[in-house]
Amino acid sequence: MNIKTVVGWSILLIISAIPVFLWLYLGPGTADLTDYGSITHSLGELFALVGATMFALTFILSTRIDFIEDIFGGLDKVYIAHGILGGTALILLLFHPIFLVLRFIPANMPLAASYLLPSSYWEVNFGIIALIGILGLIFVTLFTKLKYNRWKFTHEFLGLIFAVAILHIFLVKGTVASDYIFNGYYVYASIVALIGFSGFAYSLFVKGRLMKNAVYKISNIKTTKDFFEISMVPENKPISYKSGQFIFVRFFNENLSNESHPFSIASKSNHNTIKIVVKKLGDYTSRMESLHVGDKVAIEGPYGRFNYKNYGHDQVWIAGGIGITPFLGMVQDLSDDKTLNDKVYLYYSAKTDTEFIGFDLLKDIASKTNKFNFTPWNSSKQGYITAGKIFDAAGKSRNKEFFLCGPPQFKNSIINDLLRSGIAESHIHEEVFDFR
Amino acid sequence: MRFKKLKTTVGIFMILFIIIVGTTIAIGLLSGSDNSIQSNPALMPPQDNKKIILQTTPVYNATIDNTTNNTNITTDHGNKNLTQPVVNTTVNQGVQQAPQSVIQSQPIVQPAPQPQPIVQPVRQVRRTRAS
Repeated sequence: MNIKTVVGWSILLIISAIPVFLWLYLGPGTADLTDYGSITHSLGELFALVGATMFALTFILSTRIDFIEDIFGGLDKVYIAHGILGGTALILLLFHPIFLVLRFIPANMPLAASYLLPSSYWEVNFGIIALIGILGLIFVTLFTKLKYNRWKFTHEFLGLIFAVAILHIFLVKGTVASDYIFNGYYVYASIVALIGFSGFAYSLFVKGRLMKNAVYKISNIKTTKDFFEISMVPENKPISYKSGQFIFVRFFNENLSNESHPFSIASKSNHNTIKIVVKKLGDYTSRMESLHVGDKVAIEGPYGRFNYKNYGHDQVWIAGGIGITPFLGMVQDLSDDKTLNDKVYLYYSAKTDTEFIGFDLLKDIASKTNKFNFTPWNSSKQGYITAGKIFDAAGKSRNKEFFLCGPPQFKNSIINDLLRSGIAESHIHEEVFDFR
Repeated sequence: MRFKKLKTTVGIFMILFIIIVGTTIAIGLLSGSDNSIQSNPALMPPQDNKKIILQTTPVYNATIDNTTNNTNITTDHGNKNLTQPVVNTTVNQGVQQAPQSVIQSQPIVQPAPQPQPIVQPVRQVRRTRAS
């Protein structure tokens, strides 16, 4: 985890822990923790408050706002934080009713049961509905393989669930207006509601209008058995980007749904023609067969901080399969880079020789500059690439910066290998594809 | 890998939650007595601006006056201090007979040596509500 990601996580955790401090210093604090019943009840309240705060923050993390990406050091890191925070919020919220009924268990099980069931008290029912809703939607996100557009549609209902949860938070307290968990409870609850609603509303209603979706059109398509290489030129003003970043692309084609998908940029920084390489992995990418030269494209972005210029010069790049795409752009920048002092080593692993993408380009640049060393790696013949094999050629130094992009298993295997070899986690930089 | 760990962790807690809640509800319902939340308004907080009378017959009658910012509890023996939160006492708007067994096993209101108005901290009463 690099320093930026640590800063981002620290901010999230401090904000999430605010209700605990308020409860301790402005509310009853430890004076309320006198017996089993009061301890479990207080824990139930605290878990709800922290969980609701985290739930609200997940909406802010999904806005794709620039400064949040800067704080975390890349949109992929933001989405990882979004996922982990959402999962943690769910776990805390699940404990909320459990802790509240623990005081009745086992002495009065019927009472405990009635506490967990719907009733005529809607302030409580709203809480039950919200909990079931978030449980169901996160289950869909983590444990089902819905098509992207359908999953995205379901995920947006979390905003509605949050609204129901806010109703619970306000109404269940409203019946005992003189009973504060801590002073200023309603002020805090209002801030949490504001955070969540503003994040959700921005994503749903504002982002699409504020974001300058640059209009491009497809200028060239190369198709192989497993890949599409799509080149796009701007209709009007081109976007400004760095190699290694990624964009959200929406194709205007009758056979493709109109949601946007993330793709790494495979062309050099700020080149007028943006190139992406797409592997036929899923339903959407397989249907890209129907794309034609001249089709309009909306591009949102760029996002990501995966660029060699952001780190020290002694670098090793490791790509697996389709993970070569961000390196294709970077290597073109590197060949023109007069500031680079050290040699960059690229290890590119593919299952077969036919699966190498941009092989000729990489070979050509490696032959023209002594700053770049290219090692293609056929894993079916040479076995899996390991840290030891990389160190044999590139040398072992704790100051090296390692850039990885590829399938999760490929990356995780090498990252674990590097960590075992003594490379600090802060020197390992990865690009994450899967945002779900 | 992080998402794999997240899936595993969240999955475990989801299953744990379903087991705990499912078991609690099942055992609670199978216990037989009618303890739906409607018949156990002790679970719920007193309504604002309404007086609620507790009749813990044959011990004491108590009135919760929630019309002010502070909750005053008055018994028919004068103003008393509650020795423990009103958790297991059946409470309803109007007058209601509390279960005899509850009163016998957990007396709610203790006679004080001398009558004096007590303003209770709110959270002592809070145990009666759902959150």
